[in-house]
Amino acid sequence: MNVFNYKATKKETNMKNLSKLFVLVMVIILVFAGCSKNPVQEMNNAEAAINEVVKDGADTYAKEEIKKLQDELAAAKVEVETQSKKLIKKYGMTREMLVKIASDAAALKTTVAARKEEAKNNALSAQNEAKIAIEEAKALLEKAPKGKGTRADIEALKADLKGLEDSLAEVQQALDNEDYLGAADKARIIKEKASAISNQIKQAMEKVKIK
Amino acid sequence: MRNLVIALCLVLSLSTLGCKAPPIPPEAKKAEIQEQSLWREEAHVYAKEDFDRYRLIYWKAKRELSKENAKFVWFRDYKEITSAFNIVLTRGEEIEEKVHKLKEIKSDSLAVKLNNFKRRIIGLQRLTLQMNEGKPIRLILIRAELMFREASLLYQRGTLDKAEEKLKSLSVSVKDAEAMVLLVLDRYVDPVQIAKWRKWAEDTIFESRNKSIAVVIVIKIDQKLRIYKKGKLLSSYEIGLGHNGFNDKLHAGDRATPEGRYRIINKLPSSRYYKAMLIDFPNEEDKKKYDQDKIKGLVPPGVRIGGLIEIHGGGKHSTTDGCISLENKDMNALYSLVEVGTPVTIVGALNDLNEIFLMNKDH
Repeated sequence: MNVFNYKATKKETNMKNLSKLFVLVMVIILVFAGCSKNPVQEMNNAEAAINEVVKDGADTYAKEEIKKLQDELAAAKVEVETQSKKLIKKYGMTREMLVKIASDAAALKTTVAARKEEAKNNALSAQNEAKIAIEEAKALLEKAPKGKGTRADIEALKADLKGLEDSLAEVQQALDNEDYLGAADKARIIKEKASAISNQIKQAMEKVKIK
Repeated sequence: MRNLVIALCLVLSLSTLGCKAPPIPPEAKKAEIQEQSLWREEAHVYAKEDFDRYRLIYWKAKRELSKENAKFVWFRDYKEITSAFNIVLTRGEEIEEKVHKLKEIKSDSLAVKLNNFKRRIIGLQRLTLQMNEGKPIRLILIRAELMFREASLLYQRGTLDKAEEKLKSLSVSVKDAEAMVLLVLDRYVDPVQIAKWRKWAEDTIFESRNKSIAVVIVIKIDQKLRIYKKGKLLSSYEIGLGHNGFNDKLHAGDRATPEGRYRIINKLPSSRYYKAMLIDFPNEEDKKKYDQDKIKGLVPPGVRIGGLIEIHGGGKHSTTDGCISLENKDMNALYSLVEVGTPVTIVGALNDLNEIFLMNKDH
């Protein structure tokens, strides 16, 4: 083998190696390209899942949990933005993060529904208690002594009880609007007032009995 | 070529082993906790613009942190990011202070408003018990009371914005009730009427001083009976009035307490309502007024002027048909101080700044 032949063979070998390296680089680029697809679908899914649970009342019944998910979504958006500006993009972690957000939001939907149902039951029970308290006060008022000194008081208390009865409509309205926490508050306040009126009547009756 | 690649890998591995990644600045975590805390403190409600700006710089810093974390270990440098998070933390502290201050101011202002409404509702409830046409006002008032309780509950929970919203509706109800009360009680804000009542009271006290006798002055708005001797205040008792006690008496059966200058004409040591003292209603002035009211059509046909107005026992909480009632122990004291002929002057109010006037002012 002469010198010229040796040089030609070495050049050929180098060319072959370079071709192999090129193929390898291309394979790597293709592999990375597979992972570099922007997770648009996952982002949309996560956003939709959060919006849905917010619509269900998460802002009222799972305030902290929904805020956490919204923050995680914002963080994922930042990560997507960061990766999008890089030459070799890695969306794997973000994709996982977004899938988890969507799944957590779906789970939160169940929690919100359960808490809402609990609030509804509490409100209905408070509404019922308020109705009973008003009926009790009305029955007591019927028995109250109607003397010279109590006539005006009885009329005033009757008006008060009528006002309380009318206010039960507001409780129903709040229930219809699915404002269960507000409905429960209103009902409890009505019950308290009706009970206070009952006590007032009982005291007046006791006073008359003593005399 | 092969040797070159191996050498390069060796150098790279050794360099990586010898070089640790710098730690993520703790300011980043602190800022995250701060952002959560500000949100819980409702910074998005009390300092929305500031909080929005804060979130912009917070997320910018987080974005930079994310970019930095994405770099190869050798090239990571958190110096600028640390200072960015420090700016976030400083701004957050300022917002926190601002929110606390705003909440404190709002809380104090709401407390004042709640107290004001409480006072007005209690005053109106008391007044409606004395007035004719009390029922429609009581209906408004009970709604106002329920709203007041709701607002108080929201205030106690620290949901100040919702409490403030509730107070707006409450204000409408209270104003409606006050307007209705004022329709009946407008005489109590009339300076001419008040001057007339004051003159009656001054003349009565003058008579007490001049003749060295006991006199009685009843002030309807205060629900007080005062007894003067030799022109000096001796005692003051709480009283109950007629069902329509705040109205001036027009005719029999209107259950209003008359206003005017009277005298005791009889003392009853034992009556249906403990002890009693009868006054000379209707006097000549009342009769003249009754005739005028009849002409004005204020007296229903066939209805007489009425009479038998007494100061009697039975309790200060009693609601009478026009008489003035006291606690029995107070009645004992009064009974011993007065005699037949003792002047009794009944007025609506003596002070321009009475409860109705103040209510009108609020209104």
